[in-house]
Amino acid sequence: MYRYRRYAYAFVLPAVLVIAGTLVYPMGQGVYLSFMRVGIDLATTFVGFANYVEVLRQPLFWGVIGHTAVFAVVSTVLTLAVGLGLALLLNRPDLRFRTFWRVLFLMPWTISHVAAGLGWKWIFDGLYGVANDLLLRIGLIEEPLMWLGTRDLAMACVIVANIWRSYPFVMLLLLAALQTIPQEQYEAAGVDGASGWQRFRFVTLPNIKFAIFVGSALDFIFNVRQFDLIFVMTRGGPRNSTEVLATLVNRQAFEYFDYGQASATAVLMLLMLVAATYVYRRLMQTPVESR
Amino acid sequence: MLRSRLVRSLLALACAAPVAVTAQPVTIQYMDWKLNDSKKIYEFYEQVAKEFTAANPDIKVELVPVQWEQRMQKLITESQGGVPRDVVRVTGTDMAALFPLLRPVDQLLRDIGKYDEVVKPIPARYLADYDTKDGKLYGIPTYISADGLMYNKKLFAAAGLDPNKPPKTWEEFLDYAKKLTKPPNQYGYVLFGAKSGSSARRWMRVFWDAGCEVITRDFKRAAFADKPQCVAAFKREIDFARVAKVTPPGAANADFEFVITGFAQERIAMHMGGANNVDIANGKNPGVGANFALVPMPVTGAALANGDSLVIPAGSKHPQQAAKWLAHLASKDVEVRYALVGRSSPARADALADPRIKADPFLAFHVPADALYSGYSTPKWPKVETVLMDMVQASLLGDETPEAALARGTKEVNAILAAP
Repeated sequence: MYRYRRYAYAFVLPAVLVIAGTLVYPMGQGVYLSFMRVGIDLATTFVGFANYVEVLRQPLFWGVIGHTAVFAVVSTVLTLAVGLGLALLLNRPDLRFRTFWRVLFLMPWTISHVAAGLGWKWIFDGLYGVANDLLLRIGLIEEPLMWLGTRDLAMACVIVANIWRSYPFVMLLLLAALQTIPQEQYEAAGVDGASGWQRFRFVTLPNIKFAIFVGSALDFIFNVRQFDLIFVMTRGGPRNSTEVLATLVNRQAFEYFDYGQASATAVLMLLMLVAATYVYRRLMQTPVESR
Repeated sequence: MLRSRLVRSLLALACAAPVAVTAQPVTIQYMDWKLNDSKKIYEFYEQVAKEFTAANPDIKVELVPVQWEQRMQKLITESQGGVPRDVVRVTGTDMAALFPLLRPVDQLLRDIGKYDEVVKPIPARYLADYDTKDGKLYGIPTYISADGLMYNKKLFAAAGLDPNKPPKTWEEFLDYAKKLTKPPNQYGYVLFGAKSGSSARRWMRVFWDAGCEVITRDFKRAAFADKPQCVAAFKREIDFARVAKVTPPGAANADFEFVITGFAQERIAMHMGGANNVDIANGKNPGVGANFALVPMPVTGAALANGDSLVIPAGSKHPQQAAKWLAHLASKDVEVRYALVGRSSPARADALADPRIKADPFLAFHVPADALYSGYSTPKWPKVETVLMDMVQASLLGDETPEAALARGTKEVNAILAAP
């Protein structure tokens, strides 16, 4: 028995080492640095909670929390709506050219955040962007809109770009779940005279509830951590209106070279994510148990 | 037994034989965002590296392009990781934060006998402004960023303006900009409103051009609202966007890419920029450069003294070889040739006086010495820069009047500079 246990440890060891090296060590280092004043040459001085106090004292930080919440929640909800809609469409038995549509809808997932950000930045460009050109041509606007140069529009634009980049993941997850629903359940519902909406509400939705929770939880975490897309499109502007936690950490670390404050902000971000994930987990328990 | 003896004898012979030791060439790496500017510039550096290796067969040079926005992050993280490149281009204002990661170059240049040749022709002020700390020289200035008014002659002619008579006063400038504005496809002028280092450089020049400073030279307090003309200069620029509406929409998000693309597409008729923009614009729309002209800015034409510096990171594994490459890059010959290819005015006085530079239409104008300003070499500059661009954006978006933005900015900058 002891020998078998030794084998078990030996088999698990490489994975533990990889996780320790790539996750535990950097995380521990981040927490350590959050209590230090760190020079550009990495010379450190212990400052206790001073970095946390400084971060929490800044009005910008609280504004950034708000932006991050708006970006993450709106993106997650709308990504779920788009992903679910397309998954339902792709799951229709009468859909023609199914493979073509699947490949087409999956395309955004294959594009990097940076490339997607650049593409959307050009689309929303105030001077030569397609969005203004199209809207001017069809007469919906009379003068070009400052998409990325106006506070509210800029946030809407980065959310649209993020949804476009993120929905295929949720779509795939939900499509996989949809395909596991036994056809007999729909047939039984049909026999009972259920309408299309009732079939969706009482057959489809309960069967894919778990996938919805998993997909949206993961998507929410991705959205809170989103950096590259926003950085490329707006660099957090105008006037910090699209500054989120990840771009703030980048600014503190690589524009101000204040690694202590950047680490403190990153630790606070981690704590918020852990709290959000815990809430999600609690919410998930109900559907898991009821499956 | 016999075989064993034979093998041993052969081995002994082999060890005893005189061996011709051939030293392996050392490869050093040169990181520079200019390598991304255009194919022409990359090829120029390839040629310079070939010439250097021909003269120094024991040293090979690997060119490492980097994005402008990532230059600091790359240099810092690579240095902290102990694997920096050997020679790196940084901007003058980057230097203040970088000293702990750099190796003094003065002794290295003396060691290879190139100190006088490299350092003496550079005006002492350029060396003092950014590159010297505690009496040691950490970088070699490599060019003067002399911006001018870049305008599109074709669009001038189409608007009924004389392409050979660019505006000379701000009143004329506004009049021209209005005539050149035909929304939504064409605008007379453009402002750099996005939050970035390259935008901040342009706004520094707005204040300098009015004879003002952004912060005092002892780095103790804000100075951009010290005199009425400073406020007037800031307000004038904002009014181009908000009152005269001669700039394209989205000015608060207009970065260098936006400006240069709009200019290359002939949708923006005038902007303030350096001669190096010509090739970048040409790269986006080949041949369009023939329509451009560059003249001194209206009024004084203030310029940034010493735009960039060449440095050797402290962690370079080949400092002697790096010093030789740095000395080669900073030589008069290479500076002049680069100026003609990259269209940047050289920092060396002897290179600037070269007839080839004076004959170039885009390098022909020279800024008088009293109009030369330096950036602010303090580690707090990135935070000041953030406030500067926030004032610009607040004014452009109409959140605050230019006067109110300057007043708020003054308080914020003073707090930053007063902090330990």
